[in-house]
Amino acid sequence: MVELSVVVLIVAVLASIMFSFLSRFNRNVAPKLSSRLFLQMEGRRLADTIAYEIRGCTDIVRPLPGESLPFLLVKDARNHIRFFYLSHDVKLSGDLKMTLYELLKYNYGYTATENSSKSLGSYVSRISFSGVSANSVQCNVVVANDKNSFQFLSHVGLMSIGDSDV
Amino acid sequence: MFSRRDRQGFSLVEILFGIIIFVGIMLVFSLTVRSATQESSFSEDHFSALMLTQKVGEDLIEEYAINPYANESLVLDHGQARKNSIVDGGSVFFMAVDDRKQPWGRIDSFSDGGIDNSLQPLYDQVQNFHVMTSASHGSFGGFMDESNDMQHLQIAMSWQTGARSSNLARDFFVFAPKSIKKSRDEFPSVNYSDPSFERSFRIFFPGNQYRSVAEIVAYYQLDGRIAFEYAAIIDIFDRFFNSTGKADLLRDTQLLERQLANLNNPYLELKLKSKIAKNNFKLAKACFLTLAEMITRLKIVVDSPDAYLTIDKMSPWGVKNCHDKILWMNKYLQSCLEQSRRYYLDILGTKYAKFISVKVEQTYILRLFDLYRISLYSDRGNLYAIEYRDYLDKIKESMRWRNMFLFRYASQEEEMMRDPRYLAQKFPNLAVIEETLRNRFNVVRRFIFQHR
Repeated sequence: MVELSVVVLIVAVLASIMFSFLSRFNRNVAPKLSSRLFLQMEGRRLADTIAYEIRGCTDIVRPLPGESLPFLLVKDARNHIRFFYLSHDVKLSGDLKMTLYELLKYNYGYTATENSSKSLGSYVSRISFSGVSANSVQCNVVVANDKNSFQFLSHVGLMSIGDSDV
Repeated sequence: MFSRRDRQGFSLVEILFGIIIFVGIMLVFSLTVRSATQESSFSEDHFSALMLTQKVGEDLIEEYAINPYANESLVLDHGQARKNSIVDGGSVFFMAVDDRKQPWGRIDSFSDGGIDNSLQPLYDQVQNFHVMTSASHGSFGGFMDESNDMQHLQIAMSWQTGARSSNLARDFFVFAPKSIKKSRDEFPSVNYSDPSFERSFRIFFPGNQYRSVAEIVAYYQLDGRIAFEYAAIIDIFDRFFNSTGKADLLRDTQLLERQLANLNNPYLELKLKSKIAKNNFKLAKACFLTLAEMITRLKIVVDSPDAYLTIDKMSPWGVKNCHDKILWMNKYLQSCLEQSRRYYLDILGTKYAKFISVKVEQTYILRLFDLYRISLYSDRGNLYAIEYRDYLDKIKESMRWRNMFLFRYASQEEEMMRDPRYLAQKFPNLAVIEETLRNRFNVVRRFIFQHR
């Protein structure tokens, strides 16, 4: 009888430890781990896209040097304006119960057919573009979800077109 | 007694084995989870390191694009590489990140520009990160950059993820021109068989129109070289004004100046002034090349032992005319530089600020650096040095919170220009200008005044 009690006790303790461990893992660790990896993936995608889009441009219209703004206005070699801005992502914000934005690009061409809008990425909690010189722009991006947030800096140089004049 | 067959359940030893196996499985499981968490942290840190290394690389490219001696302004010399923290103003590359505090429109590296505790979550992510940068003379494989125009830059980012230390290294080459820059304009050369040269030669010996050049030389028993050099000076001077490119440039500049007088539109004014400034800069370059060649010719005369005897036999009017042309060309060079500088300074004033892009503003600021540097070697070099120092102070003041690259360059320039000779050592093209405008021209000018 005593042996049986001891065994039952040991099994109960082990089962509770295992249960708490697995439930903790399922509740906290696994979602956090996957959300963290997901944010990294989203961050990398955003960093690559932003660098690709800005490197194709030749002039920064705004922000001016010394200024940090949540939007970016640049010109490309054909004098088309590219406008990068945040738009409130209502669905994602509602799902995750936090304020999140989508980074959009609007391209102003010479004709209406050349105008286009494109989404560059989601899960953006904050973005600021800083003018640090005449030929480059610094992006300070925070991507977030309900479990994690991740921030990265990206310094992107413009396309070099040689000497500039009026 | 119970037999072994009749016994039911597990013995304590079996249970203990079971527990050991269970604990083993749990241990492996927890280690796997721990390892996955660590790998995820490492991956996050690695991504941060990649982005930060890219930022330092872009900063260096930007710095070298305007300043070939960026390794000095950033203290990157080989052998002095230091490990600097990314956060709390530890590294020069992370002092102007974001404009987060008032007054807006200026990134103050001391109060709001750097990565401090208020910049979350970045601060927590990168507070264990350190960066080390170094620069060395560009050589790779069997290639050695003899002209010293390439810089080999190395960036090493190191960080700590838990107990694990990691680092990420990147190296690349940048073009940092320090050797002499060849002019695209050709040095004026003299064609001795050209009829125009013969005409120039005859100026010095009026009344010998029926004799050939060879007969004149033989008759006067001259050191023919001296008369030839004088004739070459006149020929070079005449060709400066007769060449199509220069004549067009002169006419164009005069026309633009006349148009400017009748304008009342700031944007068009800016366009014209910019064109005039650029034309004058081009003319100054052409003037310098012409003057350098004229000085070289007259220097041959000055260095000749028979120069005084020979010149006495030549037409005084012709000799004076030739000397005046050299003095005139020097004045014209200074005037072109002055005009160009005046227009560029005017363009950079507040009147046209809204029409000029940041890129163009930077181009003009750097062009003024060039113009002031050249002026330091002119007759009024000391006055221009004062003016240049004021200009650099203004650039430093306006760029301190806006463009750290230009601010550092202007600060370094202010130090270097204290001694124009040191500046000339740093920029070999300036050494040529110094040698021509200061040393050789002064010798030639003394000779000219002795013959007045």
